[in-house]
Amino acid sequence: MTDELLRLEDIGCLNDRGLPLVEHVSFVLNTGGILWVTGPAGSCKTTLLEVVIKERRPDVGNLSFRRQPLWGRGCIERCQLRRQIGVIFQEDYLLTEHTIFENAAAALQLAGCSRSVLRDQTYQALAEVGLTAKAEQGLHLLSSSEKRLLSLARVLAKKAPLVIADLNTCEVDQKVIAPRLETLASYGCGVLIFSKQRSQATPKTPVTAELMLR
Amino acid sequence: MKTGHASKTTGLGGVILAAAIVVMLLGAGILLRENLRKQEQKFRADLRLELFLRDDTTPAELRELTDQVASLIGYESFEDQDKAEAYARMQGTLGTQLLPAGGYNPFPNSLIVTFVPKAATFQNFQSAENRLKSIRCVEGVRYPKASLMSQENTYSFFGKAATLLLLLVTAALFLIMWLGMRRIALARKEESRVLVLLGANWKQIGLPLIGKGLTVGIAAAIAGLLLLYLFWHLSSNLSLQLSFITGNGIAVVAACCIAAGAISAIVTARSQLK
Repeated sequence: MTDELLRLEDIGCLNDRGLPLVEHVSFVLNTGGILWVTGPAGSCKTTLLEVVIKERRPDVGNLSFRRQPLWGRGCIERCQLRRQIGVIFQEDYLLTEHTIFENAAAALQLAGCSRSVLRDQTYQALAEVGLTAKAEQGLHLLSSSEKRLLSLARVLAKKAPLVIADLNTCEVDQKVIAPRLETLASYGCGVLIFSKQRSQATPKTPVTAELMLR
Repeated sequence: MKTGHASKTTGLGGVILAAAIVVMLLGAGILLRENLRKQEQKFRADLRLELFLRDDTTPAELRELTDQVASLIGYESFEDQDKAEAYARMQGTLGTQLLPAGGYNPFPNSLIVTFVPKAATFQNFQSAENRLKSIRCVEGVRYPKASLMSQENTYSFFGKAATLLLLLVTAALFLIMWLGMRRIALARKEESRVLVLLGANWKQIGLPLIGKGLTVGIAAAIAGLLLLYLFWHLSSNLSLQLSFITGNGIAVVAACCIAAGAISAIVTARSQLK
């Protein structure tokens, strides 16, 4: 049985000059579903991602998460929403002065997880992306690919019901992160991926959908 | 893992030092104001209103007069001084040569009225004079009118100037604290941004910064008061008769400092969550 996770209805965003950035975007993402939002550079995929994570308010349209409207709610609700989703941003957004373990555990710690759960889930996630050996080291020792994997580990550790990823065209994003995210859907997680194009490394399944932005 | 602003001490020393200097100035202003007030109280406590009585004043009239005097605003006490006593006092002060010879006593009987220092103002003295001089047995009313007026003007001017300076110094203290907190927050801007994106709430971003603001405020208050004490101690060698600020003054300085630290931290934290 699938439950509705995320619904966007006729979303539109304008820029500072009043010109449309995103127009008439509608979709529904259910638990266990995968949605690829694709489009060329400048098609405002990141703008749409910002709308979904409440970083930006849409000028028109409605959003809901688990059938609860997302807009018109305050800062507390924004925090609560973000604690229920895992996001891989286009930029890494890592805590540069903390260790790899601390970065992977950051979202769990903010959510107030117990120490043992935090430790188990974080090490499990780091093991999945092959960063366990470097867990106690600083970020400066990581390559850019490894930083992307650390972003993935942060999401995996969180075990969020909805995972959102804004993927680059780099190999690690397309060949490692995208397929790994798609496997999350089989565990009942909703996966929303923003990318220039659908990764060739991911097989088309009945739960996969694609929305193309112009 | 420490989140937010708890693990970095960026620029803390500089902020504390700058704030401590302003706190010292604030304390110095309060010290001068308190000493000025003390001086003013002493001046007012020494003021007397003298009522010269007619020689033919009856005991009933005197009783009525003392009742009137007792009902004056700020009345504290009165002293009944008869003409012989006045003569003897004057003799003690001026010597016998300046006083009329032949046993003639030109001094009248008098009542010397003392007011509580707070009420010993020009306005009160004038109103007492107007009220009492119309009484038949009162021949004249005397108080140091010119000196009281000029002293009051002087105290009022310095009091207002000191208040203005204290307000400016307090504003400077808030500004320094705010700039310091902003600097600390800016050093953590990227980290805060990531934490907000991951779902950090106001408590997780703001509380460490408020803790830091309070720490800076308390440290600046202690350092500033110590500096003030040092300068006050040095000034005693210059034979300046100034007393150190009272407990109330210290409390005001400390409260200003802590409030400045906390408020600037709250303002900074709020701007980070927007």
